[in-house]
Formats: sequence, C-alpha cells, structure tokens
Amino acid sequence: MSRRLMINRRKALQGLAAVATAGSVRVAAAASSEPIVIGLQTELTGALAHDGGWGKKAAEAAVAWQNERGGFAGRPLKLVVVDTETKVDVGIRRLQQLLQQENCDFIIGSGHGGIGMASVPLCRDAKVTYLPLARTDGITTELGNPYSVRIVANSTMGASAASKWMVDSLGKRWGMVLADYAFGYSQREAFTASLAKAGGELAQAIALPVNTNDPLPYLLKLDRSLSGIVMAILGPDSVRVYPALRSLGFGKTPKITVSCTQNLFDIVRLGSAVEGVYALDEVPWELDDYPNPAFSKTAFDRIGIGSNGRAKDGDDYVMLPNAIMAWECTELLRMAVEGARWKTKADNLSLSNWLVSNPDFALSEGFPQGGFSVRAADQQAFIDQYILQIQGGRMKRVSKVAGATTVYPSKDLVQR
Amino acid sequence: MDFSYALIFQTFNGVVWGLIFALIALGLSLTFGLMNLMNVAHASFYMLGAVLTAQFVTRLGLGFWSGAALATISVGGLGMVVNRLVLARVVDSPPVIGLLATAGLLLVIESSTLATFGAVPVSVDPPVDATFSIFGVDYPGYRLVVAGLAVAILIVTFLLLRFTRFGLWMRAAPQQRELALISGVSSGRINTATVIIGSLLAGVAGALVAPIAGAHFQMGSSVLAVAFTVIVVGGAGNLWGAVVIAILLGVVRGVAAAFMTPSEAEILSLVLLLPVLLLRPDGILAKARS
Amino acid sequence: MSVRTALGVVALLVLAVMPFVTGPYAVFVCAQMITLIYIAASLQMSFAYARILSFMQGTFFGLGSYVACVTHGSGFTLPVMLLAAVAASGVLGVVVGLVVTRMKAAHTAVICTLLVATIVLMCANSFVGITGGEDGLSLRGGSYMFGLAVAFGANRITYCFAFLPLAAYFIFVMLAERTTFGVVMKAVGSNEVRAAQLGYQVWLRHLAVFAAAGGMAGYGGAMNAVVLEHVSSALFDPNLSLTAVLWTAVGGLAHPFGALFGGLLVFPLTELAARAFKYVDIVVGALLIAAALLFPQGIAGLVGERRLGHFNRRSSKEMLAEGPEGRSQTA
Repeated sequence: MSRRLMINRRKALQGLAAVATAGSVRVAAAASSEPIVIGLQTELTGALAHDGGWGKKAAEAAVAWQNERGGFAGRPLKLVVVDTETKVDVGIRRLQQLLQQENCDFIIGSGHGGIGMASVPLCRDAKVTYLPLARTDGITTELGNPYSVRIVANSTMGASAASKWMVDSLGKRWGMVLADYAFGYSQREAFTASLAKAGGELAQAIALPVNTNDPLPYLLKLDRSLSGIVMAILGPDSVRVYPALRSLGFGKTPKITVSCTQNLFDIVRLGSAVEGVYALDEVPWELDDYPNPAFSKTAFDRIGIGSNGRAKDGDDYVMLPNAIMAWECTELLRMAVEGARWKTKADNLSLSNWLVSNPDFALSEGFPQGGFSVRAADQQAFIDQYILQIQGGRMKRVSKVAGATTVYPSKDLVQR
Repeated sequence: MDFSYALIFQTFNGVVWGLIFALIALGLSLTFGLMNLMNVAHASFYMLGAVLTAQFVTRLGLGFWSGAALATISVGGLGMVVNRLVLARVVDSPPVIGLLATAGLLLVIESSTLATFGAVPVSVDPPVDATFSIFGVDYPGYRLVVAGLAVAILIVTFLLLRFTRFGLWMRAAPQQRELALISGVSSGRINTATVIIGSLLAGVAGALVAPIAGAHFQMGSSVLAVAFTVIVVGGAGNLWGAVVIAILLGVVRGVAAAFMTPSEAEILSLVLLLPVLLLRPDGILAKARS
Repeated sequence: MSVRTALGVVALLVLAVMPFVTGPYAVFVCAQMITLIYIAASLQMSFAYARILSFMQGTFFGLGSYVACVTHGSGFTLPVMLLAAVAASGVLGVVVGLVVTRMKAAHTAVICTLLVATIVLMCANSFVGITGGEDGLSLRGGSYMFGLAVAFGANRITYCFAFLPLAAYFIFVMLAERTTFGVVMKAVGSNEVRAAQLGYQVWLRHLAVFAAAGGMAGYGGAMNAVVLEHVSSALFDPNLSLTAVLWTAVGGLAHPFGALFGGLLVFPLTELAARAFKYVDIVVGALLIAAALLFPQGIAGLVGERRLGHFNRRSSKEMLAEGPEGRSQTA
C-alpha cells in the first residue's frame, strides 16, 4: 500500500514537472496564422489590485478591438494576463512564466515601480519587448535598453510638466507631503530640481510613514506661508491626509497631486476636503476634455468607461492613465509590428529600431491621449500631460503641458 | 508654531490615539489573558469594523452612527461564528496551534474583504464636523467624541468584568477550569463570551477610526504588532497596564515627531519598547500562571 | 528506514534532478522555492531547538539578500557574498537572540520577533538611499567562484548553490538524529528544565540555534537575490515570514523535514491555485487553519517514524491505537 502510494507520489511529481516544462519546449512557430502573444503583467490582488484591474480591462478591450480590426498584420492576438499580487518576488515569477512558459512576444508591464525595475533587465536578457506602466525614473534612466519602451511619463517628466505651471499660476514657495517610500523620495528629488529650474523652490518636505494611522501630528509642522503643497502619497494614506490637512487649516492652500496618485483612490468622493485640489495626470478624466473626444470615445466605450470618466457599470472610479496607456501600448505594438514587418520575437530589435525612427505617433483612436514620439537614446516617449482640478466634485481639465517641454537630457543608453 | 504648544497638542493627540489603541488592545488582551490565545485575527476584526462602516455609509446610505453600530454588531457576530468554527477548537491546544489557526483566519478574512469590497481605500466623513482650538491649533472635534466614547466603553468593560457574575466567571474560569466546571460554569460559554466581547471591541475601534484613518483591507496589519506589544508590555493579567502603555506609546510618538522625522518617531517609539520586553520579559504569563 | 526519512530522501532526489530534466521556467520556480524553504527550515530549527516561534525569519532572509547585493556591488566574488550574508544575519541572530532567548514566555518571544521585523521593515522603507526602498536594487551580470564565472539568474550552477547546502543540512539532520548531539539538541528544545538538570547549557544552546537559524535564512536570502537578480524592501514584509510559518506548519513543526515537505506541497499548490483562483490567499489561509485544526503535527508528524515495511501491513485501526507519536515497538 505504502509503496504504491509512494510510486503514485513520484508519478505525481513527475507529472507536475512535465506540466511545468510543457510551455518551454514548445517550438516557436512563425506561421502567419499563429497568434501573436501579448503578456500583461499586472496587479489583480494586493494593494494595487484596483489599478491593475483596470489595466487588465483595458488590455482585454484593446486586444479585442485590434482583433476585430484584423489583428497585427493579419495575425490574431492572444492576451495572457498574470497577477503579481503586488509583490516583487511573485511579479518576477509571473514574468518568467510569461517569458518562458507562455512564450510571449511582447509584455505590457506592471505599474509597480519595484516590479518594473526588476523586470526590465530580465526582459532584456530574454530579448522580449517590455512596455512598463511603472513610472519610476530608473527604468529609462539607468536600465534603458533596446527591449524596453516606455510611453508613460516618469517622475522627472511629471515634475517638470507641473512645476512651470505651478510657479506661473500659483506661487514660488512649495511644500511637499510625501510617502516615506522610494516613490515619495523620487518625487521629492524631481520636484526639488524642476521647481528650482522654473524659478520656484521646494521649501519643505514632510515624509509620512506608509500606512501611518494618523498623519495629523506630523502635518502640524507644515509651514503656513507656503504657496501650495505637492501631494506625493499613496491611496490609503491619501484618505487620511486630505481631511487632516483641512482640519489643520490648510483647506484653502492650493494642493497638487503628483502623477497618478489621484487615481489610487476615489478622490472626488472626499468631498469638501479635496475641492479645488489640482492634479497632474497623463490623461484628462472626462471625455469632453480629451483633445478629440470622438477618438477617445472608442477606448472609453470598449474599456467600459462612461463619458464622466467613471465606470459604466456601477459607480467605480477608474485608474484612467493605466487604462488608456495599456490601450495605447497595444496600438503602438500594432504600428510597430506592421511598420517593421515583424515576424517573430527574433525581430524585436528591428521593431524598436523602427519605433524610434518613426517620427510621430499621431492622435487617433489608438492614441486618444495625444501624439508622441519615442526618443532613441532611452526609448522613453514624451507624452502631453494635463493639469486637472476638482471642481464641484468633478475632475476638470485646467491646462495642458506639451510633451516636448518635458524633454530632459539622456545618456545614450540604447546601443543599436 | 510655538514649541510648547506643539508639545501640548502632541500629548493631547497621543492620549486620544492611546485610547483608541486601548480598545483594540483590550479585546486582544481579553482573549489572550482569559483563553491564553494569541488571536492574530483580531487585527482583521478591527479592519472589518472600519471597512463595514465605510460600506454601510457609502453604499447603503446609512448615517455614520447607525453604520458604525451595525458594523460593530456584524463583527461581533462574525466573532461568534469564527469562535465556533475555529477558536473553540484550538483553545486547549498548545499556543502555537492557536497562533497558526488565527494567522490563517487573518489571511482568509483579509482576502475575502478584498474579494468582496475591492482594494480601494474608502473615506468616511466624520459625523461631527466641528473643530475646537488648542492654543491656536484647530483640533477635530470628532476625535474628542471618539476619546469620550473610548473611555466610556473601557469603563463599561471593566465594570462588566469586575462587578457582574459573568465577569467573575470569565476571570475565574481560566484559572480553575475544573472548579468552574463543577460549579456549573461552562468554559465553552465563557470563551464564546470572551471572543464576542473581544471582537466587539475591535469592531467598534475600527468603526470609530474609519472617519480618521479611512477603511482599507490591509489596515489591520498596521496595528497588529503594536497592539500585541502593548498587551505584552502592559500585561494581559493587568488590563489597565495595556491601556496605560497604549496611551504612553501615542504620546511618545507624537512628542518625538516634534524633534525628528515621522518615520524616526514611529521607529523610536517601537524601539523604546524593546528594553521593556527585555527587562520584564515574562510579565504577563507569570501573572496568568500564578 | 522510516517513512519520513524515505519521503525526505525522495523529496531531495526530486529536487536534485529537477534542473536536468525540466525547462528554464521550472528551474526558476524550483530555485525560488528552494531559497524560500531556507526560511521555513530556519523557522523550524528555531522553533524545535530554541523554542522560539520566530516571526522574523523573513527579516534574516531580507538582510542576507541585501548583504549579498551590496557586497556584489562593492566588487566581491560569490563566496564572499554568501559568507557575508550568513555572517550578517547570524550576527543579527545573536543580537536578537540575546533578548528573545531570555524570555521564558513563548508569547513574549513571538511578539519580540514580530516587533523587530516591523521596525526593520520601517527602516528599510525609510532609508531609501541604502535599500532602494520598494523600487529596490538590481544585481546585474554575474560573479566568480574561485576563478569560475557564475551567471546570475536561475541556471544549473546557481540552482546547485541554492540546493546543495540545504540538502546537506537535511542529510546532516537525518544522520545526527540518533547521535548524542541530536538527542541533546532535541532535549534542549523539547524539555529545557530536564536538559538543564542534566547539566546542559540550555540558554547558550538556544542562542546558538537562533543565531544559526538566522544565518541559514540569510544564506537563502543571498541565493534568492542571486536567482531573482533583484532585492527590495518588500523582502522585509512580515508576510514572507508568515509564508514560512505556513509551510512549516503544514509540513510539521517538530521535525526538520517539515519545512521540506511543507514547501514542496504548499508552494506548487498555491502556484496552481493562483492560475484557477484570483484570491489565492483565501486558499492559503484555509490551509493554515486546516493544518492547525486537523493535523497539528503536520505531514512529518503524520508519517511519524513508522518503518516502511510495517506500515504496509498494519491496519488503520492499529495505527490509531498507536497514538499520534506513531512509535512502533520494533524501532
């Protein structure tokens, strides 16, 4: 009995091993009807589950839309979604699954900075094109390589887009409330430099421990003579900090959120605590605020976003920049696959060569956010950014900052 | 702002937070002291109190107080269910088993909350919008209400333990299980009552905190280590000890924040507890055993 | 040979042949699993021989990862990276051990380790300049071992570096079980009063075990950094320690093989569950509860020390009559 049991166990283990290998021994066929496999490495559980969930909805909608239009160069698309659980070690494991088991041709990457940083070198080694939704500077400043293409704006670009407008419209002396986290520090560094460049200064910065129960005692030190406060904090902390700021008498002080943090929680629901708050975002929230609403409507309808920028089903808020950018990543891949006459993963290098030599990806249904081009030195795109403001519980567009104004110098990281 | 005013403000706010923490720690201390069970899932009861309150208020449109009451009762009910399914079965096992089972519970409750209500941090408007001034600094009136309620709840719990027959049983049963059985007191019923009171305390703490800290499925883990440390340092046999330590911790953190960065203040307040653990390493269990 | 030993040998053999019969993804997953088993094994060691249910084994693991990363960054070769990781986590083990081994109440020690883990996590998140915070630091390229080039990432060489010391530990445990050393360690772990009366230095042994467990987790962490080529402050998340607790609980807290069995069972199970079910932590939590309620002695305890031959012939009734220890008369 026991021996049989043990044999069964051994068989079971062999079976497990066989299952595990099945993907990796698959021969990469390049027949023209063979689907092109796009991996989506995203957060479906854990702290960023809401944001990753919208990335998934958008990627699914985009792939369905592209397939209806004939796929990429006539080849159908297949989307494989994996969940990083918002953990770096799991994110790397899932990436390996996409690379080695699912044999993905392209990967749209996580919005989590740490997962993005860890994934870029692995994709480079595997020679698979990676389009991160993470906005950490290092992805294109330190780790830039031919296999990573980023169309979202990094912290430096965000700060430079916001700073000039902040100094011109609101004042010179700024304070910052930041998460005591790598994310917060990179924002502080970026704003210190860009505010100084714009003729202002970052006069004070208060780093709040992540998930602190009560920010009130720490915010007490905020200088009352500041022109405004830059908010670089994460979702769960935001719902504590805005009410705390109001109760400390900073309700009327201008505040501006750094890119994407306003999308980490349902900001407009904070009511009077956030009325008048400015937000720096990669996309407008309401359909009518887009450069061409007729173009944006396709993405909005397909992804399931109403014209007010909230979910059509239920009244959920939307992680708009990740949703729209996942949509645009797919369109970018379509143009590159067709433009570079891409056939297999082996062509990924010529694909990125084509990407950087194509001068402009113009405003269209596929790029509802606006046009951009991809810089050859680090394969970072320079997209337009938007200054929004909460007015009467709605996030309205106030100003647009052209992508070209956010260009910063870069080393030649990508050797071709 | 003048420095001494800041100190007074920090002390005041520290006391308020200490009282909230005391609610959490008291529930934990009850299950620990009376059942010898380290209930890690206590943190998820606190989280549920806040999340349910937020859901009742934002989705069902209930008023804050009725939402908070309903959330507290729901958490108490969940405590009863969890006790029957899990806690009652591990109460006489070695402490490690209880720890493992409740750690499992924590994972199940946290993930189920994520699956049901999502990962979105939800804010709740405080039912009391007034502020009052401490030396020129506006202090949210709601926090005062919370402090008052916490004091009231703590006093009621102490009275319950001290002066009712039920409280006497609760205190006596863990010390003399056989004697309690002979006298017709079922230790199972006492345990059930202990768990329900403990989860009600955690639930009400979460509900009251929701307008201050918001509601999020991972908020429980941020209080877990601190709450446990508070009861270990304060002493489970000595319920007042946990309350005093909780308040001290809040005050130290607030006052330290006047001198250093917030993270340094939080780290310092925890580091200061280490020597206490070393000098009085087994305060609680020595008390429970004797 | 007992069933437990046989199972252990089979498990080790499976892990040993893995990189030679499977593809790169399976090698990566197994290598990651092995590095995580170090946490579980060190937790089991700490609990069984030092009587401390440590919630900070993940902290040692994270420290080992960072030390490996920093020494690599400073230009040291692989042996130095690994030794430094073990030494650093061992020293942290001594420091914390000086406090926790003096705590007579098991609860207090658990809380103390949890508290230290919390403090370290806050520091790791806060000192971004050193740790890279949640964005982390990369280990790029490779290193050298006595002149031989070793590429980072999951490959056969790094797999061996991860697997062989672990295998050596388990084989040592297997061989030492019936020696005086093994018996004394078990006594010190299970009945300290008795052991002290017999003249053994209980406290010192507890301290040594706790420090060794720290060093062990640190080695796993260093190999984790080498295999994943990345470290971040997320390594200090108490969830990692909780995972180790889960593995060890399912596998069996009392016997070293518990960590091995638990890891080999739970890790693939959660990987498979994650493909079918989004909220896999519900499964993990339920498993933990089930382990605590239904088989608190874990797999290693369930199979006990039954001899292979006897196990075949006996009925379940006989086995039940034997009691949970399952010690056969002929043993």
